[in-house]
Amino acid sequence: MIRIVFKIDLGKCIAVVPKREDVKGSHVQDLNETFKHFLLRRKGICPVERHRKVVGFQNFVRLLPWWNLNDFTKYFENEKKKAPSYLCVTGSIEKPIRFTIYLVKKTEKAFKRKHEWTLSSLKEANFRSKESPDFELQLEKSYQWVATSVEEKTSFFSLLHQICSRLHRPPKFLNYQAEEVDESERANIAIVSVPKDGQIIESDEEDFGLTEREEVDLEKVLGRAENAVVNAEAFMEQLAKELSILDGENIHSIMESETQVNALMDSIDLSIGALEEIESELQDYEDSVVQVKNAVEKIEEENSQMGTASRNNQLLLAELTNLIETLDFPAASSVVNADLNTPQGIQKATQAVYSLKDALTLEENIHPALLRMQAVVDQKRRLEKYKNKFSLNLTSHLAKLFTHYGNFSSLDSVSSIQGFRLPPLLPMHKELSPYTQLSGWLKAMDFESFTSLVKTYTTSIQKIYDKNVKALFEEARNRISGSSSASSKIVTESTGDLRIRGRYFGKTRVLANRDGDTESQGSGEGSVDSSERQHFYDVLEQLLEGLEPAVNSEENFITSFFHITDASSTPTATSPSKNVGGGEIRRLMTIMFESIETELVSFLTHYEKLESSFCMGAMVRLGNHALKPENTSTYIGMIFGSVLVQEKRSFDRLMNSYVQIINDSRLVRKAKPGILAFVTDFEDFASMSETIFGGSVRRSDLEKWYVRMLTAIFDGINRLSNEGNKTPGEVIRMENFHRLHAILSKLKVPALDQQKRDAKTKYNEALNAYVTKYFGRPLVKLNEFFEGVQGRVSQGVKESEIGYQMAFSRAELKRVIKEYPAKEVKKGLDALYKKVDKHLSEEENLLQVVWRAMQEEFIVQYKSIESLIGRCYPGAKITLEFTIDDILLFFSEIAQSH
Amino acid sequence: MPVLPVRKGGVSLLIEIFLLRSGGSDRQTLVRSTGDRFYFRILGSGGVGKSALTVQFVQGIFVEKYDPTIEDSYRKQVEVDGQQCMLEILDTAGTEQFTAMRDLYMKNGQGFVLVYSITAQSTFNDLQDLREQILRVKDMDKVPMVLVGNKCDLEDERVVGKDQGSNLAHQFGCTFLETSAKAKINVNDIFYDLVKQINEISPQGKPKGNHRKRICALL
Repeated sequence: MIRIVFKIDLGKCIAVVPKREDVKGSHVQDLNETFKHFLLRRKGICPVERHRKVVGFQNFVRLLPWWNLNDFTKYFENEKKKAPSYLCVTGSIEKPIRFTIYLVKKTEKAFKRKHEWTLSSLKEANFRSKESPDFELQLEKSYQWVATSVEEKTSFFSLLHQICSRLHRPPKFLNYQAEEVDESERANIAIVSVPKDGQIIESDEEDFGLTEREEVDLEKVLGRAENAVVNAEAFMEQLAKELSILDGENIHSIMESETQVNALMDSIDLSIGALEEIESELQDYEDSVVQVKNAVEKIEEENSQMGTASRNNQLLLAELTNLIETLDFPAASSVVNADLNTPQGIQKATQAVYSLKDALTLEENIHPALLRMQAVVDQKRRLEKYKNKFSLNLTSHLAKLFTHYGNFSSLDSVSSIQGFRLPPLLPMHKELSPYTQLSGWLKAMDFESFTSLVKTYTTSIQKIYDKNVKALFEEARNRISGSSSASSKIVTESTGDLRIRGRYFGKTRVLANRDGDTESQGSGEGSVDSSERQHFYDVLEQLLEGLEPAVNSEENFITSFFHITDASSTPTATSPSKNVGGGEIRRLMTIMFESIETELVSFLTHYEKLESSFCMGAMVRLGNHALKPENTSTYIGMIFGSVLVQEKRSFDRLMNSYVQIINDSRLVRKAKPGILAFVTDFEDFASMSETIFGGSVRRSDLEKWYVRMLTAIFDGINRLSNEGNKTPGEVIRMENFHRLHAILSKLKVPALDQQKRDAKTKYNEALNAYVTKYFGRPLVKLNEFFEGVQGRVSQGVKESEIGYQMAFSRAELKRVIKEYPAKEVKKGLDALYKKVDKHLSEEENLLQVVWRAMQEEFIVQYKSIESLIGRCYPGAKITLEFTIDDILLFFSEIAQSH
Repeated sequence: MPVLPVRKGGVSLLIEIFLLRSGGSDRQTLVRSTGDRFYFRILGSGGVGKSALTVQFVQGIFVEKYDPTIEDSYRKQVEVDGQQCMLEILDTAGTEQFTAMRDLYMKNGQGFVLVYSITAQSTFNDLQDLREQILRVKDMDKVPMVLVGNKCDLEDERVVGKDQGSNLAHQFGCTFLETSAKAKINVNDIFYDLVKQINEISPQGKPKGNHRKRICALL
């Protein structure tokens, strides 16, 4: 660009038609000069000044190459009629870029703009053919032009096409093949700057007047040729001549200025040389700088490498330190030669082996690659060796200890039972406890040895416990039999009544035996008195209490000593044990205490065979122990639980047998059945049960059976009361329900209130039925007489008219009344009393009650007869031959006389 | 202890605790699978309402008071699909002390009711192990079983979602019921469903030769 401006400055050209070499230089120059003036002069600005501004990059108009359509030379020289025309395209550099096509005409003096079109109005450009220079542009109408040459046309189209391709809506190009624009051609695009407002060339109509100077010049020229008008031809020739002269002079002056140009060129060359020198010097500096830069870069690189190396070294050092620290094991000797007999030795050994454990396990923190290092492998092997050695020592030492304890303790087991409890092996636990950590170490490091060690422990210790447990149960048996012999003496010395009272449903059982039931034979002899029973329960209680602490302490000990952390060993209270098959603890405990359950079961079975009701107390006692909250998850709690279930079953069986006995019972063949055996038995049973169960948690189990037993008793009483041949059923029911009510009232069990009420009702019903039935009608004829009266009345006979009927006349009434004098009545009552006395048993002693009920019944009858007499025989003044006072007297006399 | 309003006469017919005259403790083994006798086991953690469900079913009453059961057996005659069935129901202890007895219960049981309380997550969680134990003891892949989420009247205290229960039942391949012994919801369905499950496995073809009725039915 600079070069172009430079060229303009020199006035060489404004626009260049580069390939127009054939155009004659003078014409070109002339044309260019003129066109330049045309463009610039009108702005009134000195071209040189303007062009300086170009360098300032203002308001460009890109002046594109312009073409003469008809070789103006040709016109100039041959036709001279027509002024040549030029077609050119300009574009504003300012945005938005606007392209304009100008048709410019050359006149003699200046260029005239004939037409202008915006490029966007170009609709179609027809190239026609490569052979002919003619072409067609479709603007507002179709224009057909002929270019001076084909090349020019091609060049114009190439440019036009180039420009148009940038348009939003490019025009159609017909018959034209776009070509790559020649670089040189583009370079030759001239640029001329015009003032801002000059981007559109003003139209020729309004302006293009001559400047003053030109006017003067023109006038001068015209003045010189006065004949011009006359002889235009001559004038023109003269002008042409002058023009050629001027041309020559112009060329001449250009030639003259060549020296100046050369000087200028020389100075330029000189300055170029100087510049080159400077450049080379700069190059030198640059070279040195580059060298320095390289050096610096190299240093930097080395630095970072050194940093990496040092970091690596540090890491390696750390890694190795870690490795050595982990694997280093200075206490080797204390492990190998550990003294496991003294507490200090144990403590030292514990510390040592735990650091050994750290060394062996921390190895996992070391990078796996390092583990392949020979030194590491060796050290590991060494440590393993220590470990194995120590584990062997420890195992054998502990095993020795266990066996020792096992043998030693079992020797003096007899004395160890003192205090009637299973002795906990506290001393042993205490002595072993220092080894706890070592055992934990063993578990972590050598599980196999640990397992065998546990086995050794359990088998050795099991012997002790086995022996102790057996001894304890033996002792329990001794205590029971010892005292029972003592108490049986008491029994024989004191009344035999106790024996009977201790037997539950025994009498009925004897009856059942008669029916061929041999099953209950065992309990038949079980006439155990209550003190013996109590003694048995006391011994059982002591036994259970005696078992608990030892088993619990052993469980705690092995849990901590063998570091058993079963989830199942600490379950929540509500959850049943997770370990269905028994966790590790349970397994070990079972090995050691197997005998407890079997011994306990056989112990209870033995005594329950002697007296089956023992299971009741056993159930309560076992329940108390098994259901203690602290026993929820202990082994002993579980043992107790299992035995408890068995006791519950025995209890249910026993209760069921009682119910069965009640259901099977028959009436005793004697005059007065009195209180049925099972009723008294129930009383005994209830009082015993109450002492056993009391406020125990298992009461509900008993109460369920109370209910069922009472149901059976109610049924039994009703059933048996119908079987009595001599004694009326009412009496049996009355007496037994009375007794039952008394029993239940004494028992005060809220759960049995309903039964109590039922008994009361049934008793009353029976009493009433009995009195009604047996008191009967001591005044039979009177009763019959008044029944007749009653009958008539209900048939509709008026009460006052009864006396007029034959059968019920006053005389008749008097006759009947006469049959019952006071003496007679008393005799009748006497006989009744004797009969009642015969019916009723002495046990229940209801005679007075019945007698009184009868007295009341008699009075009721008396009163009803009297009121009937009063109503049916008013005014007859007929009364019975005895008064209420007489009745009362008779009753009390009879009662007292017996 | 609430009063058990047992009607006399009826009680011995229905809820007689049975025993063998011979007194053998292994009564179940003697009278196993005699066609219309069904041996059910109620299992589950402590306090979930096993006894309440059983008593509600057998006696039709709700036992309010909580007494940890040791073991209770009940019997009830029911008619399912026209078939007379004698249900021998063993209500077991849920508390942990009695775990050692479970193997025995399971061995002699035909149908199992696994009970949890919808108000206690732990009781629900315990059932997985319980079921595994049953399958192990019975040495079977599938055992007639009903999963029961009890106390469904206590919706406010619910911790175990119904979907949790049905998912577990799906996993077990068994029936799932949410019940309430108190409100008498779904109680009978438990036992009827079990009868149907057992009948599906072994239809009524009763082995006649096996009628060793050593049981003394006390009526």
